[in-house]
Amino acid sequence: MIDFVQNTVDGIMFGSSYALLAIGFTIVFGVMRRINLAFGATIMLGAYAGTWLHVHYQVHVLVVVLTTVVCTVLVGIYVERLCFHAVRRDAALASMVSSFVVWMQLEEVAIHLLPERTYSFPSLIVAGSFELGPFLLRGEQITMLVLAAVMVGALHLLLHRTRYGLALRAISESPRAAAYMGIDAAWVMLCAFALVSLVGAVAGYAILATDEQITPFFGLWATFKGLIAMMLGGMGSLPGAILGGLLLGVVEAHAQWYLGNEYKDLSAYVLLFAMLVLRPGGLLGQRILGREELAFRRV
Amino acid sequence: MLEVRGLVVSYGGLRAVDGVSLEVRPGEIVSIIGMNGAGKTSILNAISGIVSPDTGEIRFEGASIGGLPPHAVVARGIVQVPEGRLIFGTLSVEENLSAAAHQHGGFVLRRRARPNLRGLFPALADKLDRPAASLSGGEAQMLALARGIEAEPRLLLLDEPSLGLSPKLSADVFALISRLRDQGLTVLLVEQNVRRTLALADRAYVLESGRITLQGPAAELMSDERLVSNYLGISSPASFVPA
Repeated sequence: MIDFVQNTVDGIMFGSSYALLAIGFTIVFGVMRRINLAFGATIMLGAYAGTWLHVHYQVHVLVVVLTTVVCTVLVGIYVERLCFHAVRRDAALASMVSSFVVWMQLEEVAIHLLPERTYSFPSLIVAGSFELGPFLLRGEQITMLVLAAVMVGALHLLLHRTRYGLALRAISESPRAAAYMGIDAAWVMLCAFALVSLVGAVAGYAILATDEQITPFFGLWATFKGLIAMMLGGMGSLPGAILGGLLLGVVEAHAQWYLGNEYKDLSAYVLLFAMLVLRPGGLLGQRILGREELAFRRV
Repeated sequence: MLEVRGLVVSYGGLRAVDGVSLEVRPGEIVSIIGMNGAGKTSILNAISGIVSPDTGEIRFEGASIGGLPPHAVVARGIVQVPEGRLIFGTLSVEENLSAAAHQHGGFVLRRRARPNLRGLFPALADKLDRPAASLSGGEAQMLALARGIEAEPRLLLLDEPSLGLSPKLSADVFALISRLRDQGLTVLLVEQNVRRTLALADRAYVLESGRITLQGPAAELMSDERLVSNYLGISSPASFVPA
């Protein structure tokens, strides 16, 4: 019983960063009805820029954090201009394919930047843990959860209390009506990309700081985890992304404990498969299922 | 105020608007009437930048606005209320109105004081926090109109505002448009309800297959025989000429 609770707590903590990755996918999907496959690679390259400074100049960890966030946002804007802005509105497939190509491009850049297989990634957190009754809480995971909660709270305020947040929600509801109302969709989409890149960079940093290492494959990993968490929760749904991320974290933690490390990733795919068969819209995606299907037909 | 010269709009080789010229002067209600598919909506969409015209000139208050993106046209003071309402169903009524005022707000959203709302749209004033999808058809049309006004236009483009409404509700819409003119708004109105439209408008253009075939003061058009036989049925023109 204690193991079960401990695993669930660990899963929720790690799942909070999956939730942030899923939010990155779901906001772009909600606004554009397109999937940005380069999202994970965007975060990876931003973090590589921070790692590069860390490796060559031994800069302070805060500089690494700042560089990671700023570079991820810049790479995110690059991806938006190249794969989304430049591609016609009704060509969702072209966006997806070009974002895949840019993903490969970003990986190549990272490999040229730092050619070895893995590099150590500096941790902001004093690696320590403390006991709460029979349970063990790791310092870096608590930081991860706090960061995720702060990001989700800030995002909620931004979407509901600001003019651009409302514009973003209006565009996801009806791009056509938003255009009639004088909302500049191109500008709002660029802002949305910068925003999700920021959220993704925070998630990426929290994960890498916990792992204390980085490889070019972090992009692939982040894209998989984010996409799976988004699909579990329901595409285009923000609460769904959070729920999907937490669920994925908890299931992975239990699989790892009870079945072994090699079953951790497998459990995620089994979970996704079961969800797609039983409830294809995701946990909270039922409401927009019709629109989703339309979007998939376009994709 | 608005001048359109030789406007041509085509979709994949098919000419929807074929050399239309029209003019709207400040304070007028000008109407474009015509059958379905005559090209009325395409004219409005070309003015508001939703579609880009092939050729032709669109000038608003002396400056050319042809080919500008929609948000730039709205910034100049032209707002279109599209056919089919296109309200944001999952957003609240208040959020629909705020989204329409996108170009007039600060970074942080604030509930705007809307002194005219209760007077013009009594049905909406008490439902500001309801999701827009819960509104009835008539209320949704009122919300679409309220959104158009919320964007603070000087020229309002209305596309079939009475479409799908009961006679009573459609009378309300026409009364509202007349009140908006009294408040100094200029209106370009596209309608299929020819009788009511001509009773309300100052001038009108009749559009057939993308060309203007008839134009003039609305009162004169009402007694035009061609128009009467094509659009107003076979009843005697005398029965609806205003006294």
